[in-house]
Amino acid sequence: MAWEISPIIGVLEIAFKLSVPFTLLGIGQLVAQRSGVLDIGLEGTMLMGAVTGFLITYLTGDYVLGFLVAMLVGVIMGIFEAYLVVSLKIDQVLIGMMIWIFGIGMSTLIHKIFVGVRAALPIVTALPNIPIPLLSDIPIIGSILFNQNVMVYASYVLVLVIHLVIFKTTYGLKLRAVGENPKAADTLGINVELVRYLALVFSSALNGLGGAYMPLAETGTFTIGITGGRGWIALQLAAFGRWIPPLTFLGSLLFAIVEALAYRVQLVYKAIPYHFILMMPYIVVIITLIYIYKGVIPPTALGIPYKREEEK
Amino acid sequence: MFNEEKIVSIRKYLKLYTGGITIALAAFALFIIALGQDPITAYATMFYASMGSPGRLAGTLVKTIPLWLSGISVAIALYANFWNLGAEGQLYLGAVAYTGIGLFVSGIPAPLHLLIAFVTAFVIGSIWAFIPGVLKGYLNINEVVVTILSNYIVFLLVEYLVSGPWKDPVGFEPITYPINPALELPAVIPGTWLHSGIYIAIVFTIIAYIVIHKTTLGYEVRSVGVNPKAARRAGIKVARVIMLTSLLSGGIAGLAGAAEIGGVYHRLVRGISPGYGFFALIVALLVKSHPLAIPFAAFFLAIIFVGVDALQRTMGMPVGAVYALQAIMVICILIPEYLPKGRWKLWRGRSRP
Repeated sequence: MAWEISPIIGVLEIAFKLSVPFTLLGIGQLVAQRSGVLDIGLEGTMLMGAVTGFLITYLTGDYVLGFLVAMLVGVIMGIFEAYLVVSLKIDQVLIGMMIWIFGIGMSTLIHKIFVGVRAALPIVTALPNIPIPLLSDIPIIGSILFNQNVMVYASYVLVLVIHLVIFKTTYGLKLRAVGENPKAADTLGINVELVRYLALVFSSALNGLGGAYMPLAETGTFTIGITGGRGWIALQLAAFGRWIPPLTFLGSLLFAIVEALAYRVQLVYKAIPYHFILMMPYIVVIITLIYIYKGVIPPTALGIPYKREEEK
Repeated sequence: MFNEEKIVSIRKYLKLYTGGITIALAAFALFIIALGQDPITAYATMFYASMGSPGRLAGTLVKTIPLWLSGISVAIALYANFWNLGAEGQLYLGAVAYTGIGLFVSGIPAPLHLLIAFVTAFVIGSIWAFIPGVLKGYLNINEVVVTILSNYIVFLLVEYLVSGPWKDPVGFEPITYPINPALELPAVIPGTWLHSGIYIAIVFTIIAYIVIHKTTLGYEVRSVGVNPKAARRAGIKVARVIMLTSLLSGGIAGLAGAAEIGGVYHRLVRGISPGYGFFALIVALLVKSHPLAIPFAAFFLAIIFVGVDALQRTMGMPVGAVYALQAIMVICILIPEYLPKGRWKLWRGRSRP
């Protein structure tokens, strides 16, 4: 009985492509949580990034501009969110819900204003794959890892860079200090609030970027609710990866694989109503939560970030 | 998050409230101007649409009911510091259950039929909330993500039922067959949309109030919410309290869904709720979960819903404005509540001991 490799490769190729939003959000979340705050406006910021990024690209034809604007939107929302979370210390879940509701409403609004009653849906061409010479010729791995669009490559770089920053630079040290023991960090002269502001804004920027990726590189258009809960899933990614970038990346790959599998199964097993297949990613995430939380209790030093907002 | 200060500061509360609402209304007015419309007309439209006539008032009340019931649901959970963000999904599941009983069970006397339908809705809703409840109670898994994701699963299920096995072949839209007429809730005031679901809301509000504030169980729930560690040391079985709370919360949310089917739609459709379960959180937080105040908060939100809906129709205000508005309003109203007392500095920089 011959094992067919190609469907597996196909799934993995798609998975890597789909992993970008998770990676971007997960890394952002990681940075924020390392500083002791949850970036809980994920889903809302993603939606805003998605709609603005898509529209800009659609109107100007410039992908870079689209992504940049999406990031900018993320930054703005991040500043706002940081004000609510760090300065005012309003309950984070509430803020997250508000940003989500706002994001849904605002993105729908913006979308309707621009799309209006056009007969045809505005579409952009999805980002093309750019094979990296030499590397993409490696059998199997080459086509999975090195024949992807530019944002996928950017996500690899991001994971590496952030890993280095967190563990090898002074800023990373400050970040971790603030997340582990803000009082001590404060006495050392570190501006705790500033660090957290920056972390949240950075995370939000990535959220916006990740949101824009979906219409620009996956589907080619913006649909209402395009994010489908990915933001909330990504909230757990940092914990899943024990707040270490490469592990977080693996986590995002895992979820992307589940998503890719879902699409694949849908195509192959047409008898099963697709709704149930689409439920799988969410169910899988809930199950992985059990794994995540099993390791975190008893609280390791990394478990502390969650209580941080009470301290400062 | 949840302090036990009594109604002593009601005056201060109202001051904060009105301050916040004023800011929110001003922000919304700016929003309307930005869209090129006249805020005075907008507000007038909203007012008349929601309360301009008895019929319209009834309509607003109809929208109040699910906000009210799911508000109670979320409020009960909040007392135990359990953030039931899955109320929307539990609402829909209750609706599914109610519709199921309405479609597949027949031949029993109407009152019994109704009872079974509502009980089933309650049970299904509570089971669904029980899952995150158990995960939190026993494994200490944070309920926020679990409850939010659980909604998506339910939405998919509804989508499946409504376009698949339960689909009514008459017409193009995905809607189910109509339910057994026995399950259609009678109108409270004949000729209006106001259905007897409101009785359910009233009953459960009273039950919630009595249980939370007048029973030992309620005391345990509140203790767990304020300080679970201390509660555990005092001998309260925290895990059981959390799970029980989640059960109750989910059940009531399920009833909200059932009431929508029985009183308004009479069949399962995709959009029975424009997010009642999510706005229920706002309802609950506006009144700090106090059951007797929830109906008022729910009514307030219902006015906004109806009002913005009217704005959509008469002034062409785009869909989605209601959500943006709600978010703005909530932030404006809740920020004053949560500002740290005394000085509030934007940028604290170095801390003072």
